[in-house]
Amino acid sequence: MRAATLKQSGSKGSNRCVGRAFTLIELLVSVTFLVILMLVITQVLGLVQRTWVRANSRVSQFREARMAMDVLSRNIGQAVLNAYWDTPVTSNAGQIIAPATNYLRNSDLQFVCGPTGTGSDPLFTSLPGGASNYPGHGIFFQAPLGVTNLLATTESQSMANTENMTSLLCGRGYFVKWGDDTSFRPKFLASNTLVPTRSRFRLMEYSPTAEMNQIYSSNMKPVTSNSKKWFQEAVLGTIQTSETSASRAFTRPIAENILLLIISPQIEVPPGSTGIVATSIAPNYIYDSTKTSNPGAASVQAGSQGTQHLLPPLIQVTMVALDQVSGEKLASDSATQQAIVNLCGGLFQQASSLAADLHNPDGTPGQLEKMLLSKKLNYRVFTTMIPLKQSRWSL
Amino acid sequence: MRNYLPNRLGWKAAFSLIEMLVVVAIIVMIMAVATPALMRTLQSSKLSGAGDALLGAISQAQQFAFTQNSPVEIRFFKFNTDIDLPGARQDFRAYQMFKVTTAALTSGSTLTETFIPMGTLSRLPDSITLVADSDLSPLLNGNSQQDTKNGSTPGYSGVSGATYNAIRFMPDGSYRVAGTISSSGLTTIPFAQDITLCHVTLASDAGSAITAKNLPPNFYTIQIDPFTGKARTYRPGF
Repeated sequence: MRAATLKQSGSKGSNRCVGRAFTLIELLVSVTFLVILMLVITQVLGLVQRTWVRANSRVSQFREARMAMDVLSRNIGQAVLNAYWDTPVTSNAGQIIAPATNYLRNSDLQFVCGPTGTGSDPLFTSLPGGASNYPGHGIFFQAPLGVTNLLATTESQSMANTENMTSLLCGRGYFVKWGDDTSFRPKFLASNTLVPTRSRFRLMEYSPTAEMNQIYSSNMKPVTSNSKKWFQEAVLGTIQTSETSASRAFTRPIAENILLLIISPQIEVPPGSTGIVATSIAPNYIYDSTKTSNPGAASVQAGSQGTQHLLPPLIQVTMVALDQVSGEKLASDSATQQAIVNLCGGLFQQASSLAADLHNPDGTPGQLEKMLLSKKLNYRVFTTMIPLKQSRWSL
Repeated sequence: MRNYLPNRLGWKAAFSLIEMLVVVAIIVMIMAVATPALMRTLQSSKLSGAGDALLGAISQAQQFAFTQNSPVEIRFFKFNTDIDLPGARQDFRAYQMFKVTTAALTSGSTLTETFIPMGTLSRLPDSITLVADSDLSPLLNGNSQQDTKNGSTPGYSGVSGATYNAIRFMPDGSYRVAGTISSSGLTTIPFAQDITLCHVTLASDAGSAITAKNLPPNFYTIQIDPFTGKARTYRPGF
């Protein structure tokens, strides 16, 4: 090749040494090389950027999930029932008080958990937007959390001093809801297209103030025959744009991209004991402190009342969180979102199959994890066991 | 190889001036294209850093209020952007946390508030500002107070003539915008606003006042729930 070019330039007969030009082949080779190099560089850069974004969103997103988990364990651990011994009063013409025959455990409060909208005994009788917007489980209880909203009568006054009211009894609840953020995003974003509305799975907190605790309302008494009535407003009173200090909504989102909340009431299994199953007090995840036994539960040897007006000794809370990027992906892919919701509706009904539903003990993914992996959604499962301080019984 | 041997004049083949100029021109062009993108990246990472720091300060203030069972205030200081230019635009450039204790100094006297600074003054990075606009930062649009320290200026911000707006976190997790300080020394606390007006916005300083109309394409809005105190961020692209 070189010889040919030399000959050619020589054949022109020029006496000046003309600089040799690149041949087409050389040019092509170098361009190809350049293209390959650029492809490699772009790929590496893209990979680095993707990893960076993923790691970043993972860290920041799971920080929110972790904080939500802390809030959950702190508050669930304080649940109380304030049970007392009571004897049924037999009214004989309203005058004679018969001698006490038997004393039964009683309580004016309730602890309840189970599937929010699916299964045989859901927590809510009607759910706005359908049960598919409320996957997984919910938990509702009473605890001395001291939330008040005692407003001054006029705006010029300072607020009532609630410093010593830190242990007022409040209702509290947690559940997961799918929905968008139009009712609570900053107002100026309405005219700004840079931040689109976000449809997400969110962990919602129902936190009515102590003065609005419905459980003491006369038409909710006794709680044994009005089970679950006191928190039915939780799904209706979600945060609105029209809320004011006087009409605050009691249900507010506390964490984004929480796909699922699974609550499993358990008993402590003494080491070395056989035949005791930890989930035997609520094999269907359903636990209602107003009932003597829960659906599917074997007779629990805790007195003739079973688990009525008793708090479960342990609560296992499992939370499946997605990272931000996956949450965004899910919002734009309603087919996948529906598929996940449908799958969750069938799963998490039997406490004994929690491992198969979520994560097998041998490390292989369970049904939900398989689904999330196949849809390339980044997730993390948080699990914690919360001992209830006010629960003083075991088998 | 023969082509690279010295030519007739004995000079080695070298780049000509024209070639050099072309190369330099190309380099300049590439830099001209790349610099704004690079600057944008730097600026956006600065904005993220400032926003994350403020988010951290908010959750820290909440935590203090909760653990110490006492209100904690974050004061946002507003002062001249250019110290040498007396008439320059005023802007929020720094913030600091204060623990608020309310007590009667002597028994029977009226209650007064004392403010104990917590931590050091946090300055926003240069060219990042907390937007003072009422749509973008409604939380910073209450009554502003003179920044004084023991009754004299310069106050905690270290800049004389500075003012501040404050939000106050309560032990139960909620917070309120601090209102005017009455003559008796107590801060009035206005009613909480609805959640769509509970945010502050950080943005790159464009040299003029930022409003919702001329909001730069990159901003960092922090929304704080007035009752649970939960902070959420809104950013373009997230």
